Amino acid sequence: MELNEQDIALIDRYLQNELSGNELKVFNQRMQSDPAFADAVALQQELISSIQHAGRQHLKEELSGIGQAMVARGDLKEYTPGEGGESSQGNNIWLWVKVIIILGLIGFGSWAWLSDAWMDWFDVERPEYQHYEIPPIETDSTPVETDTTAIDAVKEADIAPIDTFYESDSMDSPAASNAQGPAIFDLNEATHFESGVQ
Amino acid sequence: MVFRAQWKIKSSERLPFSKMGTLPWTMYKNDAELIAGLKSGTHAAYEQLYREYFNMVKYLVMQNSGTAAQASDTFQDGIVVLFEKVQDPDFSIKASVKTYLYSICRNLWLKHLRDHKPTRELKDFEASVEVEMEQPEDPTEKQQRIINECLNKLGDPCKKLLTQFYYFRESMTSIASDMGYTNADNAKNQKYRCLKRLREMALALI
Repeated sequence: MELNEQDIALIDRYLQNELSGNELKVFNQRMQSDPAFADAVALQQELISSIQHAGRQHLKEELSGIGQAMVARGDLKEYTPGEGGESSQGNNIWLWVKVIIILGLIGFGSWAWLSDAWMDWFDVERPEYQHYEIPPIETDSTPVETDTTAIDAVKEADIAPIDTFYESDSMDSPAASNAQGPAIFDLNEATHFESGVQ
Repeated sequence: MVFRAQWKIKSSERLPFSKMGTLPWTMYKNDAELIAGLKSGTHAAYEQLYREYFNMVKYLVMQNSGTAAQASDTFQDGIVVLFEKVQDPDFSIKASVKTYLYSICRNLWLKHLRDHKPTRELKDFEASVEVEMEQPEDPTEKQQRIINECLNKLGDPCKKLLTQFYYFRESMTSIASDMGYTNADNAKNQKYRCLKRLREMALALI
């Protein structure tokens, strides 16, 4: 079918979705009624598709040229795998999770080092008590000189009256009371003397 | 005749010689700028994509039973797909350009691996010889090949005008100023004349 430039322009506008309203309606009616015109539309669509294919090929050639030149110049950034396969937002979240975990471990470690409360949780005997030995009490090595002569004298002197007291079985005996009194007094005195307090 | 590789670079983008040695490593500061550069088909945008992401795709392909040449091909196809995507007025990108390009190239390489599955060796029971066999050509492929031949015969100015309009989506005003037409209407009329010639050449061969 012989097409003039106006027809080509009209088909082009149809293929570029530029027709609307009555113009589009008339165009569709013509395609339905005129098979040769419909074939011309199909061919023009093929031509445009081929032009686009040629454009794609041209872009690839251009990119190939750019790539070869950049490789020759060593102008390509090094790539380290795993430096960010995910989105940057996802990376930031993981970074924060890692920071929080590390800080948490450092905090727990410090607390465990400084505090022994965790030993109670696991029923661990505290190491400082395990091998604890009670240190010997510091005492004066020289024995205290005790003058027991007074005590002995009293004991000897008072034996008879005490015995008499118990034998007589008389609680009210003034002799027994007298005999007990000085003996007790003397003993106390002797105790004070013994401990060195006058 | 080979197409001039640099015809996409507009005179306004060319740097003066004094600044050529001092190009910054990254010309586009963020993804939005890079996409805008890619949309207008600037040479610098392609260079930045190559500089930043080529080795990433090369690593992906070569770690998955590919060669350096196949990596290069996959990367170029990936940029072509990205270029065509950004031309869509409804295009919006949710991930970074890096992730988007990686995903495109990953899909392309997966498709390549699926299409080129290693065939099993055939178990022979008789002696055989090499026989040349012609594969019948798909009618659509044949038509496409003829149109491509015609397009190449059409000459550089027509081919450039048509590809700039139909593939690179340049406006008629931009094409007119780039190719030296007095105005957009003149360029448009020239486009229809080229299309008419291409149609006549193709019809004669199909």
